[in-house]
Amino acid sequence: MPLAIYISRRLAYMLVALFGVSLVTFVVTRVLPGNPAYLIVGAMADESTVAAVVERLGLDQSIYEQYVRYIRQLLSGDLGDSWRTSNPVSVDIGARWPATIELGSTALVLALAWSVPFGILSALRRRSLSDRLANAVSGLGVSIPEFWLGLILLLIFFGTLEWAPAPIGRTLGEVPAHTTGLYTIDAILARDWEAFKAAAAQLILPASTLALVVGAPLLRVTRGFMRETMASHHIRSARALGIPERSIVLRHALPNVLLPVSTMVAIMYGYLLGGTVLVEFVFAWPGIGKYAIDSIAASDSIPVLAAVLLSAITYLFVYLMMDVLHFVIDPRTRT
Amino acid sequence: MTATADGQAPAVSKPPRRRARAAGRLLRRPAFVVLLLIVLIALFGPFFLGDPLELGPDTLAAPSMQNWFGTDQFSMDIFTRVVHAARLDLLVGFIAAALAVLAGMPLGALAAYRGGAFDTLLLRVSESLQAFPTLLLALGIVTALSPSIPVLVMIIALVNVPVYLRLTRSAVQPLVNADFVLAARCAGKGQFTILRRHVLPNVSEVVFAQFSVNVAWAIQILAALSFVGVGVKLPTPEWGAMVRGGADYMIYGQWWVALFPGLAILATVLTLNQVADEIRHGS
Amino acid sequence: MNAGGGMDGIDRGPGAGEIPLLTVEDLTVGFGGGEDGGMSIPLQGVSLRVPRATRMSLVGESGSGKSLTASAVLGLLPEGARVLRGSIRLEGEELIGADERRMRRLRGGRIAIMFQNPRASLNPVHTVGGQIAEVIRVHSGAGRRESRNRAVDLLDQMGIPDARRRASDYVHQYSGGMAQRAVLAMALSCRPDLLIADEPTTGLDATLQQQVLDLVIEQVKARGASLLLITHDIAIARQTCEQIAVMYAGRVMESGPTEEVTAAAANPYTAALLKAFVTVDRGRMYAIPGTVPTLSGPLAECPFADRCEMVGPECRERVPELRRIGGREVACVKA
Repeated sequence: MPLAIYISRRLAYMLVALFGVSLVTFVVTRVLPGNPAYLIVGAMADESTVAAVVERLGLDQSIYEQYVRYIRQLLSGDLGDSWRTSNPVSVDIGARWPATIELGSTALVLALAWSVPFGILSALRRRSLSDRLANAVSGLGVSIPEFWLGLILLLIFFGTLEWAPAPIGRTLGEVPAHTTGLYTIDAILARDWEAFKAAAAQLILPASTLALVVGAPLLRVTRGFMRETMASHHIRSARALGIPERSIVLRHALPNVLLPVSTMVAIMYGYLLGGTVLVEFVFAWPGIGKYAIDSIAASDSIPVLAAVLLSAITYLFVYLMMDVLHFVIDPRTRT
Repeated sequence: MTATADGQAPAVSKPPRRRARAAGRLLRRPAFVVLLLIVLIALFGPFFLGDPLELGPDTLAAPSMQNWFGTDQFSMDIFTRVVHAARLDLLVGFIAAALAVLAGMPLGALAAYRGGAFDTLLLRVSESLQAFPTLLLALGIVTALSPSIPVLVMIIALVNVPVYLRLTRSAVQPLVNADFVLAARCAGKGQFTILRRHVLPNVSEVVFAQFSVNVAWAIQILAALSFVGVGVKLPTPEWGAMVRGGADYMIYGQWWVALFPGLAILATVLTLNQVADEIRHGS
Repeated sequence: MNAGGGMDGIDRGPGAGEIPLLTVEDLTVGFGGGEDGGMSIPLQGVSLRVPRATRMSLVGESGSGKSLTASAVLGLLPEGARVLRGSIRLEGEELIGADERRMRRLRGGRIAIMFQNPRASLNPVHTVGGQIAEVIRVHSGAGRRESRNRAVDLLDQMGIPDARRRASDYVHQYSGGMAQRAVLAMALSCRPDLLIADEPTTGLDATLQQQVLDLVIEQVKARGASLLLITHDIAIARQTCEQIAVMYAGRVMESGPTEEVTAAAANPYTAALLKAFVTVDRGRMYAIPGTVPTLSGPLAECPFADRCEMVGPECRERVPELRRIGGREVACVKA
């Protein structure tokens, strides 16, 4: 199947899913009991403000017309306004997304660095010490509440050992010159090593917390696929023809494992980029998740629903990218 | 000659006792025993302990013989509160997971069985729901409604329905055209009878394992919602809310306030996940 | 008395007087037998001799130990299995206990194997030509281009049209018959002295079966190699191999020149297998009553006694050993 057809088919799927996603957020704002105008302006607003909102949202119109209006707004990039920050939500989110991207990407890299090699190793040496250890760590990683893990890490590395800086924001030093919005990357680009150290120091604990939580399912999936592959006919065949073990693992098994594992990676990355509410909250990390929590605390609903919508869209988008990448790499679909 | 293996007499393996009673089998699984213990503590523990809201003489007292887990910033005994909280957390987890099963399983089975447009529609809707990060979606709904425990249960159940729907659907699908189902169909049995009598019993193991995982998940969501301040509020004893209450003290040395309720979450969730593993790999 | 009976130097037909290519003597393999005790012994003293440039078939029902014998020869027993006793020699060189490096050079180099299910025997993410070239590179030390060209030549010799182009294809682009040709090319790539073909035609269409078998025979003959054909189908054995060995319950029941054995079976089990085949040919079914016994320990009687039509009290006294009768060896007290 040609790439163009494949991509357009996946895009069509994504559009359907987006339609569903927008429907869900729409239903949550409009159809649930209570006058949604109060959701938007807050419960303390006076009647004329409420009337204005009713007018603007077309709440006096049919549900169908309201939905069309809602979609039209979304398409023009209008996510509504936050009365807490008195900014358009799109502006607020634009300012905070780099923080989430920086944290999520670092966490993903750290998670991949420990979980995939560990998963492969434990699959190769079944019932060995490293296999048991992998089992224990991944079991713990799936079960541990991530906000509590973050607190424990703070207790150890900030409260007790004093190795980590206070969990307040993205840097305690200078903010590096803005290029990408990712402080560590910007600092490297500007060759500002002080700023890099300050930003990386803030990043390390929240990223490690997420890396453990996200790495656990990655480890399980990697180990599962590796075991399956090592028991497959073509590996038995390659062994029986004298291919050295090193090549069996690296050349014959690994590509067959990494393809399916990358799907899981995409799911995890989509989740991380959508804002990791709990960890951002614990470490006062000014990303999308923290923005949502702060808005909830102020009963400011529009930003929360915008964050929900955007994280779902991000997830779908990352998933789509991985699908397309698969299509390009995997010989079974490529030819 | 005779083929004697190293001169060892081989052990004659007994035929497996397949029909050993299910209860006896479960009791031989360590995680299941631990789970039973946790449930028993939740049910009967509070009768042996005081009021979880009772104030003591000291605030933020370190763990001691009087207060095994120490006291919190309101001088309440943390051990008493952790045990009391087990009731709420387990109950919410169980009911939410049960509601999700009750809604998701029949829908998933029906989707697989009916196929066609009905199947496609359900699948697309659940895919859309699954694109949302669970916690954020729950947060979004909570903000639109006022948070109370029944609302929380409904929300946690709702975000879990697609999991069951898809799980049951994929488990049922290969069975739909299995010979025994076709036979039942030829015998003129109705759709629902076939589903209930012939198909669902065959997927119950997968669903039981997933149920255990989902109770764990529901407890995690409840704790997380309470932790960020939209779920259960202090002073009601609930693990997530208690961790939130102790979070600020963590870095100033009063680690016990947040540590013990967090450990309770970890232990319960870990046990439930292990039970799921035992169901999957057992029998 | 040794079960193999091959040490007394009596003339025994083809290959006599010289060291056979492959000698298996009293091979006994057990599974389990750890702390929990439950040991099964699926191979109970197998003895075989494959002379140079000879085609021998190993026939038996599933579970008789044919494939396990092949795995033992390659030194690739499944996890949990170990050789309890016996000897496997390749031109006099003992393979049991040989170091892994030596075994790896032999595998694919001097002893090659092809399995059933050819499409699963090739790695889905590497090109077919690339996989053959890797085997050549590993064993001969030839360069990339050189081994690639040899791979293409081999595919061509196996009758794959447009071999140079097809070498760059992946296995999912091959039909079952083509894949089996490619697997054969890979197995023969380093001019092995012995080709083990484990049910090479199972799963192929009836018309393809004959083609693949003919090709295997032709190629083995042309290279002066020996063939050990593992099959459950005595008809295939009869038609393709000069020598036959019939296995049952982890033992060789009868072996010798194919014509002699199939013309008048000396062992009732061989007779039963032949009868099953002949009656199928006439459109009726004859099944040997009963099932292969599970081997949870050493036997005290003829393993076939329970299913044998000619069973007598003497069959229950001990396990019959292989005895030489004319040109063949038979394990039956009544023969």
